[in-house]
Formats: sequence, C-alpha cells, structure tokens
Amino acid sequence: MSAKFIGQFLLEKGLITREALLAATVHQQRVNLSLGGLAVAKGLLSTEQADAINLEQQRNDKRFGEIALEKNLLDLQQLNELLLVQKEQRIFLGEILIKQGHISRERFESELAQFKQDQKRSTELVTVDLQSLPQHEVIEDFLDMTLKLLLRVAKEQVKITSVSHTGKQFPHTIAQRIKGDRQFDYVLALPEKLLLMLCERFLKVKCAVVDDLALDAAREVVNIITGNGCAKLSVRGMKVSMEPPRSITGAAPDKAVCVGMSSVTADFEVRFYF
Amino acid sequence: MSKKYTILVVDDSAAMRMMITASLQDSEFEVVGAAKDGEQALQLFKDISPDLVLLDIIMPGMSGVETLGHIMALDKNAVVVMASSMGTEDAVQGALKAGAKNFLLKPIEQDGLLKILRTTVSSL
Repeated sequence: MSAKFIGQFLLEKGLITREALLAATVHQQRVNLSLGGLAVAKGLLSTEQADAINLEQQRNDKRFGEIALEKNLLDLQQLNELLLVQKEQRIFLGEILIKQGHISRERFESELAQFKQDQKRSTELVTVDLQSLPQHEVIEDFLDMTLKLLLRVAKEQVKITSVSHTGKQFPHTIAQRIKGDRQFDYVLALPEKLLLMLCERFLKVKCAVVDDLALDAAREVVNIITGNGCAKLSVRGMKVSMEPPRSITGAAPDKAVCVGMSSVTADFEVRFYF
Repeated sequence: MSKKYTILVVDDSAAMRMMITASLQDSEFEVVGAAKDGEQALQLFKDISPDLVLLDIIMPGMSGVETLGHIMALDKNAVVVMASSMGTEDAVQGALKAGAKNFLLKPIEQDGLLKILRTTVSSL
C-alpha cells in the first residue's frame, strides 16, 4: 500500500514505530484545536453554538467561519483573530516526531520532500483519470461531498488515491440510487473498522460490533452524502431524486467507476454504477 | 406545567428514530409513536392522533410525500414536518405544496429540530 499521509509514509519506510506515530497523532489532535474549539476556549461561542455550526456544516458546503458570520455569532475581526491564532498554534506531526526524538530534523525534511513529490505525482494521475471519465462532473461533485461530509460528520480526513474499473473486496457495501436527469448508484464499500467508526461518530454511542444499528447509521451517512450531492447537481440545473440507501453484496459491475480512498482509519472505495 | 405536544416520528432508519427520540427528551415534545414506513405511519396516525408528525421523505415503499397525502386525506388539519437529506428547491417546495407545514434538513441536530418544531406549533 502506498502511503497517503506523512506518518504512514514514515511508518512504511521503517523510520518510526507504530507506537510513536500513535502517540504523536494523539498529541497533535489534543493541541490543534478546530476553529469552533478555539472560539469556545476563548469564550466567543458556547459549546452548543459551536456544535450547531458544526452540524450545519454537514448540511451545506460552507466553512465554519462563514456560517458563524452569517448567524452573527462572530464578527469579521473575531474570525480573523481566531484564524490567526489557529495558524500560529498549529503543530505539525513532523514537528512532534522530531521533538520527541523519533526522527532527526534533517532526515524528516528529506523524507517530507520525497513524500510531497510522490503525492503531487499521485494527485496529478488521479485528476487526469477522473477528468477522462464521461460523467466526471457528477463524479467529482459526489466525491467532493464525500470528502467534506466524512470530515464533518465523522471527523475523518480522506484522500483520493486511485481511479479504476475494478473494485476491491470489502465486507460492507452500501448503495443509493440517484434518478432523474442523471441515473446511477452511489456506492460506499468499506471495511468493518471504518463502518464502526462511522457509527460511533454519527450516533455518538459506542459501536463494538457490526449490528443492524451500525449498518443503519452507515446507510444514513450515505444518505446525507448523496442528499448533498444531489443538491449540488440541482444547482447545476439537473432534476434528480433518490431512492433509500441499501446494503448490497457482490462484486462491482464491469463498467463501474471505483475510486480508491484512504483515511487514517482505513482504505475504502466510493463507486459509481452508471 | 406547559402543554406537551405529542409527536409521531416516521423514518425508515432506526438510527434516525433513536436520535430524534433522544433529542426530544426533556422537551415539550413527546414521541408517542415511531414508524419505519408509510403504512405503519398511517396506522399509528389513526390510532394515536398525534399533535405533529415528523415524516422522512425518502423511504422504501410508500414515499414520505405519498404518506403525507394519505395523512392529509385522513385529517386536513394534520401538522406534518417533512425531513430529508436532500434540500433542493424542488424537494422543499414539493413537500410544502403537498401540505407539510415545515421542512427539516438532515442530519438532524437537537437545536435545529426543536427550533423547527417550535416554529411550527407557534404558527398554529
């Protein structure tokens, strides 16, 4: 598996241990506050107001600050100050690994340059592959909403890693049909670990096993992604509707577009069956 | 004690029914019934005559808008709030034209849900 995040890159090259990466990631998450977390810490927003903005972000395509301004919860000066503080306080994973003595600065900087070069090449290839698809506008709209909503609903950062017509095997596959001016199935194929994580972060309850509730929560996450995707198509002047999401089995059909995705938790796929 | 409004929640997702019921706990809205599809919703609507119905649009079998039509035929004064993850102009206008009093965009969070329900009952 090729690395999609710098920590994973260093781990795969045997330059740091799994324990060191985990500890550094936990430290980074504790130090790097979200804009909402920062506004709450500074007494500019209540926890409830920040939560409400976070949830509104799941229903539209706007940034936290944009919504806070619209709701008159923050003014422009407060927002700019928060963004500045956030930038100044932000700590990068590499810095933590260096400070904790897991890697030297010189080695890290050399590896980072290599990683960035690999990523640039990979992104260029994926972009070319996506744009060569006949339905690329629709696919790009839905992929964009997938990345944004997984970050907002599940706090999971995701990268697109590949585009092909051959799907990999995953234990859980959820599909939702879009009808109207564009007709296709949006499909999320994911491993158990990611499904449980989605369930926990969506329902805010512990999900230890894949049961009906966990599958139901994952279907609802798909429903939110496709609902937002359809809203984007609607802005483009297309009339579309959706069927309820459903769990499916079996391999991807021959002409499926299978988009490989990678998150910190696991690799998964978004597929489009036209 | 202020009036408690009884509410029937209709959503094919058990996760959503659970979230909505939890969100309305300790509020002036009491979930007195939960249905997983349109047919069950109509039966419960007849049985319990709730003050409000919170009705998902995208459901297997009878859709939310079809269910809404049947509810309005049973009681033209029924107070129904539609919910969907698809907030397109067509979806919202379609629901309101069919007789819904309000529209709630998913994902549903407690503050937004209470705000919509309170706005809806205050205009009755």
